[in-house]
Amino acid sequence: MRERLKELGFIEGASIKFLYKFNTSFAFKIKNTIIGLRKEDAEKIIVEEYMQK
Amino acid sequence: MKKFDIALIGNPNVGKSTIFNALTNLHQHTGNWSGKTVMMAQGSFKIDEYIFNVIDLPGTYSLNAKSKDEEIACECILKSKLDAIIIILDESRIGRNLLLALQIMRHKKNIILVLNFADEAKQNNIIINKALMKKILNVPIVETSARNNTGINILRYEIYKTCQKDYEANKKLNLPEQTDKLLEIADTIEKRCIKKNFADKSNIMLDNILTSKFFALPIMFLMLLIVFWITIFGANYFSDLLTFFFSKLEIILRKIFDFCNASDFLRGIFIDGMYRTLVWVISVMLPPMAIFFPLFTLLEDFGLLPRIAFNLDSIFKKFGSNGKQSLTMCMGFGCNAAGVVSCRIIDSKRDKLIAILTNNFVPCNGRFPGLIILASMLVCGKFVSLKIALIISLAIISCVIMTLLVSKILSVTIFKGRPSFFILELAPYRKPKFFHTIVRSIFDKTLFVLWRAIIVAIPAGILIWLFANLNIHQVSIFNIITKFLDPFGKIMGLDGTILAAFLLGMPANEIVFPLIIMSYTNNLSLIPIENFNNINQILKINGWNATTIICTIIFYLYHFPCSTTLLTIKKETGSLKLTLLAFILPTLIGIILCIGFNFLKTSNFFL
Repeated sequence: MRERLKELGFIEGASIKFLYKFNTSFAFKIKNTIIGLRKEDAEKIIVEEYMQK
Repeated sequence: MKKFDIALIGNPNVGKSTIFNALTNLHQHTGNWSGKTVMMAQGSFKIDEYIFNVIDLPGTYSLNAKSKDEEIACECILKSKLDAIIIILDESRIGRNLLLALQIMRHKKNIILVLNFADEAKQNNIIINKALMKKILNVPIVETSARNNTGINILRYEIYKTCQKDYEANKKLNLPEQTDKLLEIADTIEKRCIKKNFADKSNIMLDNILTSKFFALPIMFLMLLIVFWITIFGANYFSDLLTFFFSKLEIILRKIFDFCNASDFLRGIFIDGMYRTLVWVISVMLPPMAIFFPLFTLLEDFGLLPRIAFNLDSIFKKFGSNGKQSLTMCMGFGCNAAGVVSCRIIDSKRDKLIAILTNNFVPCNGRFPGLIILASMLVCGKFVSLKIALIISLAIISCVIMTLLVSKILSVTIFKGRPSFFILELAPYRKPKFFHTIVRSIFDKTLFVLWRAIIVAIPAGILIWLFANLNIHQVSIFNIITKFLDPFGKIMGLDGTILAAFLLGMPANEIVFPLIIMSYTNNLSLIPIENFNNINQILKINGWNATTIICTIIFYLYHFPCSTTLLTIKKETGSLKLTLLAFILPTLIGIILCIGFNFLKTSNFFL
């Protein structure tokens, strides 16, 4: 699964934004695409908060 | 006529199929049946005296194949001899799409890059410096908007040029292998070539509605209801028309046989056996499929389906499976074989197998007419239609619950410990090309049904006629089977005839019910639908009561998959063991439920 996430753009330095959720399904925007993930998988992705002015 | 072979490849949701359709117009066919763009379509177009054979490969994110689909795509690109490789990108998302392109560029040179959805890119304020991109990557770049048919002729021209070129002399781009590094390169290229910035015009509002706590489930439920409604009622009219037409045709056929002085035997086999069964399968199967699948494809093209899988994942997860299974179940409503094929959209191997094995719990279009007739026999008095609808809904709900339960059981027994994951791309909402989709879909489904009718229904028809008319010691083979199964049938609340009908109906669920009637009326062939008026009488005479009806419904819902589905399962899983399991699982459940219900009913438990 890690490999697949990488291919979708989940690499170091990529910016990711949380969009919406339904129960335990979370949707994120990364590289202009919306990707749906499970909550428990998403929690394993290390993210640094980035505040935009 | 010189022939060239070219392939279309790209990420999912980049509009590959639209480009394929635009390139080949209607000079195309689908290699194998497909209910979704998960199989390869092949077509061709001509320029002067050159023929270009195009193959539409399944969408893939990278050459590191993870699913069967991607394997097929990669193998084709890397191993077969292609004169040109067309890599299609979404112009608004080249940063990610380029990964696949770069991977391919490590191996091949005869490449054309297509930037599709140019209209969307413009709306998003994105302008790509094509000249710069071409310089960096050293391949021709064509901008298209396949939906609006722009850029297609330029693409054809570029394909023409590329196929003529000799690539041995060119240098290959020196690219690393790791995904991270390639993505970084892709990112850099995107940044350099993009002239403006992404202004997100995507329809987040629609997403918010569809995934909101209140509206999501009701909206999805309503949508499915509408699709079913249109399918069942539209199909009825269509079916009647077909039946009428075929019965007129039969009269002509009989006249021909009379004219040739054909023997009774020949007449029996060809008309009573083959023709009647063939006609039955077509007139029952074709109309609903021709309506259901185009509707479903429209939903898919619009972008609704991923949202459904997204919403339902939480539920399916609790039962050991995957949100995408909801989509394969919907496909199964149309046709179980199609449902099994559609399981390719599930990347997690475990979830995929579970979805395949449980797909048959969802009743397919072939079973609906029989179910409706059975349900109608249970009701009387006022509001008949409503009552029937209620019964059918109950049946479907029980099927869904059963699917979830069995999925759970499978996940903690046979598939215990295997990993499961869920990743879903929620592509933007795009207006589907209505006419094109519907025409293509009807075309595909019609071909499939006809193919299936020929391969399956004809031999089955011959066999059934033989069984009903060949006598051993004065008794037809069919009756021998019936007598043999009778004791077991009675335990299940059925009888030998019903069981025999189910067994002989294995090639196609549509013929189960007619077989029952045929056997009771001692007709030596399947009778046309018009004679269904006195069904109630016929069945009562043969000992049917409410319990029998209910048990038949139960077994109709839960029994072995039809032969086409079994074959498909074998092909998709490659495992005889799993196919056997797919056969046994629903059958066992059906038997247990029937015996259980019969026992409870006859021991007056419900009083």
